[in-house]
Amino acid sequence: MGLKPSPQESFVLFPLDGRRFALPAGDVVELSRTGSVQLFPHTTAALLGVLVRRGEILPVWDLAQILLGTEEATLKYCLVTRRNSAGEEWTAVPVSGECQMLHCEMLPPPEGSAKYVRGVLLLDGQPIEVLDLKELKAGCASAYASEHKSLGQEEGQA
Amino acid sequence: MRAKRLGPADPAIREPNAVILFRVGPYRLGIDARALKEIRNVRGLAAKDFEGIATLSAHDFLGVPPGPGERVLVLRQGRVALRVDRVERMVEASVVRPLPRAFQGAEREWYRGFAMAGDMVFPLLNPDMLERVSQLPVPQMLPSGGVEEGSLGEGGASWV
Repeated sequence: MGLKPSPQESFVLFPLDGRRFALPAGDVVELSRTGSVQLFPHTTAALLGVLVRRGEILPVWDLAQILLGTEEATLKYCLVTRRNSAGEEWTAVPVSGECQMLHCEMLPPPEGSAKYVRGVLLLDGQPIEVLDLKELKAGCASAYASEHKSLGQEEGQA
Repeated sequence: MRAKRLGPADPAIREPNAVILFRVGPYRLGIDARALKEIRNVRGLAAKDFEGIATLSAHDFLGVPPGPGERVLVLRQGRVALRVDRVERMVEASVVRPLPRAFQGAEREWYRGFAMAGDMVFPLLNPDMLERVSQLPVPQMLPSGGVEEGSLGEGGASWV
């Protein structure tokens, strides 16, 4: 992996329970109030519920729990993220407060960063992780699969 | 146009369905009214009224903390009933959308999808799954007592 920064790009910075993260602006379609997130009983970890946007049912990812292990973060808005070319569905990501647009260079992720860190931005000398939602979701899905596989093995042994 | 930016919708079932709305803990859920035989008030039900009927607790089944469980939804097919906290009303759901693919757990079996009625969106319980679950061992039985009930006729509904 090269250490040269990428050309300037636009990012959406968002607060999440006292920390800040970023998403490439191209991944974000809109910002909406979280008031309309529908909670319902389910067993998929890392998902909060669903959000209805223009007749579409979007899964709402519990980013605070995934990234920070926070069970009950104060969430005010949802970033609605773009469906990718691979046919992945639209998703919503709840955040703790006002978002900010930033046009700057993204630095490569520091060594040892999680797979979902696409790079970092430097703002006021502070590094801000740029998230790769696809990697993040893939990580959650595989964690769920392995958890259920091990549960199945335990049941089989019992 | 923003609607276009949200891309093509997942395939949705677009037939008007009468849906019974009910509560399990803080959650609102629905079930197709055609799947129900009757709705009963638990208060005063005698065990003999549910002889041979497997009664499932929606709280246990969905992993929701215990609640009052005051109403029982008796399914039309088979011998199964579901105990819920309360029944709200019947609505007409114009669209039923599939669960987003991100949901990978047991909920894919529990629900037929999300029903939309006016401003409301709620998961629609899958009655076939209740039938299957009822065939598992140790169904939960109801307490004994008298009976208060309302019944769902063919194609219509009324309840206490």
